[in-house]
Amino acid sequence: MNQWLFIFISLILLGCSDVPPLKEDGPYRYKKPSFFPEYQIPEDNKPTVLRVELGRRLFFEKRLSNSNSTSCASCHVSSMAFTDGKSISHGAHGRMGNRNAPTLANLLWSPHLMSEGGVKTLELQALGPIQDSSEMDMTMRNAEAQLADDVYLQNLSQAAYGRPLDAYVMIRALAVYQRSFISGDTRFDKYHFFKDTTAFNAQEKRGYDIFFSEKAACASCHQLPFFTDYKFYNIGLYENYADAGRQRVTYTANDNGKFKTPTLRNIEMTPPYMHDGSIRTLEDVVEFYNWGGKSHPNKDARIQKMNWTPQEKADLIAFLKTLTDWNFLQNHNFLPLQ
Amino acid sequence: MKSLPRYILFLLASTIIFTSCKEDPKEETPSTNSDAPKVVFSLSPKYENADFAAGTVYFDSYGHRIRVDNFQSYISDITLHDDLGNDVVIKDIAMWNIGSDNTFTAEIPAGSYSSLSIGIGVPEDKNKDIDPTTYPNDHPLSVNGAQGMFWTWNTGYIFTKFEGKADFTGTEGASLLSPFAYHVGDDPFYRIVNLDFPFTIEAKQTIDIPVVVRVDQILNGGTSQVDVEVDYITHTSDNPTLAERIIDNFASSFSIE
Repeated sequence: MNQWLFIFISLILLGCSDVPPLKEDGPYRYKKPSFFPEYQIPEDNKPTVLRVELGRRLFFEKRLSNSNSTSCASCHVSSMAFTDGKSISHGAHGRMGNRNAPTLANLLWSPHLMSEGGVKTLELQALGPIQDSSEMDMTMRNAEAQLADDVYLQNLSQAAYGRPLDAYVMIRALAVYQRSFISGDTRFDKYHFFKDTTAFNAQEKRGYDIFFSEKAACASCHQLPFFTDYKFYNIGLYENYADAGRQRVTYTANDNGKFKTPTLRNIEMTPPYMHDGSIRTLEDVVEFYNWGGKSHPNKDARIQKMNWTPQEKADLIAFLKTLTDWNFLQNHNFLPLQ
Repeated sequence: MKSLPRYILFLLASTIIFTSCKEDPKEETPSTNSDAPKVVFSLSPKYENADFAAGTVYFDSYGHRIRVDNFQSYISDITLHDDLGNDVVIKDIAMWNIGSDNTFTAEIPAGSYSSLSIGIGVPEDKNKDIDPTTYPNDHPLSVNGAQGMFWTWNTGYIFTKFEGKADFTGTEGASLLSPFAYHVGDDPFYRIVNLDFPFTIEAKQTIDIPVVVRVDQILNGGTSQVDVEVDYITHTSDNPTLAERIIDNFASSFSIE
């Protein structure tokens, strides 16, 4: 009799709760292409199934913004390679930010974040947009308070990190999730790394040759396999830069107007271009490099007039479009959980 | 098997009883020795020779009318130096805020001391690329304790914020419409202030260390004169020269009364 009473009470208690049970936890392995180098992850933030899930939920969580209107995903849309198509992103209360939203592909290998490279880890980077008044405009204390009553997220936090959903957990979970944004499955990768000559047509092959030529020197900064060397250059976009770029971190005049080399993976899907979104199309970007940029004392010597023919420019653009990773753009793991 | 539910209920009941009987954990207090010599450190703002009063409109050296709305700073490694060459750190890090009581007491060894040093800002080993979420919430370097004194785009602490509004007409009663804001941080801008403060202290004695900051000297200091009409803003990276002038003026504004 007592046995049945116990089961009955347990069933009632379970029935009262509408909080779904947590998934089974376990180590999570980032799936990297064979031609990407090994990666390192912080000792105190190893990926697990539940940490990735928590990060995913937080990435789409609008309650992390002051206006309940903006999440990380508002400016980083997976179908646009985690950009938003705007020159300058808009944050909470419609406020304008300062720069073009960067793609988030392959952050697992990025030695520093932000265009001027002032942030060393993805964990610390997450503190920026949440607290920036032109992005999500929250204090971390308010962010914690906003989610304090969400029983499922709190359970998830306890299971994933053994503590309530505080700032410590939020930035770690977001970092764990963003490290899963790996893009290395393109026609270029098939052609270049797997020697599949059928992956390119004749025009794309010509564009490939231009890109890797000594004259164009594109690949000297946009290095393989990530199409970036993560270094900082002035490309002569302006004679006077409103945004000082790398100089903001080093205080050195020689670094004025220098910005981190952006990856070209999925470049077709991430217009407009440059740190301020000032160039609207890929065609215009190629035209800019063909022209050679404006004069500036810090301009890199490799930025010179190219004198490409219309055919060469078209070939180069065709090549750049082979860097689109459709499996990455359509990955359902980069969409919100229901 | 039949006894299992009874066993679980018994365990549950026991847990509840024992948990509720458990004494509340007492707040941990640092061990104190009532006979130990003590110093009471205070940091008080003055404008020229009078106590600084929040909300008051002052005249600067250019004749501008200014009101300081926010003045906060990290102070660190507050250290007494004794005659034998030993250093006694009485506070490792604190947030100084012009509107708050900035007094604390520390125990020190008996002996003769000659001077005091105060760091302005966050020392290098605690500043750059440190994760503020690893500190407990009440720590001055935590995300909450930092009270916005943390740069997220170039991760590190803002050492000093000095903000307010000014009126350049000099007319009594005119609105103060022109903002000024000086945010100084990053390792090259860390400063150490050294102040002579000779004293001898024995057991059971308490000695006050009344440090004063001359707020007027932030703009009209020992190193340079800053005109808020011309040089009204720096976030350090956009105008490191002005940031240096401000932090050097701040460093020269300390004295012991």
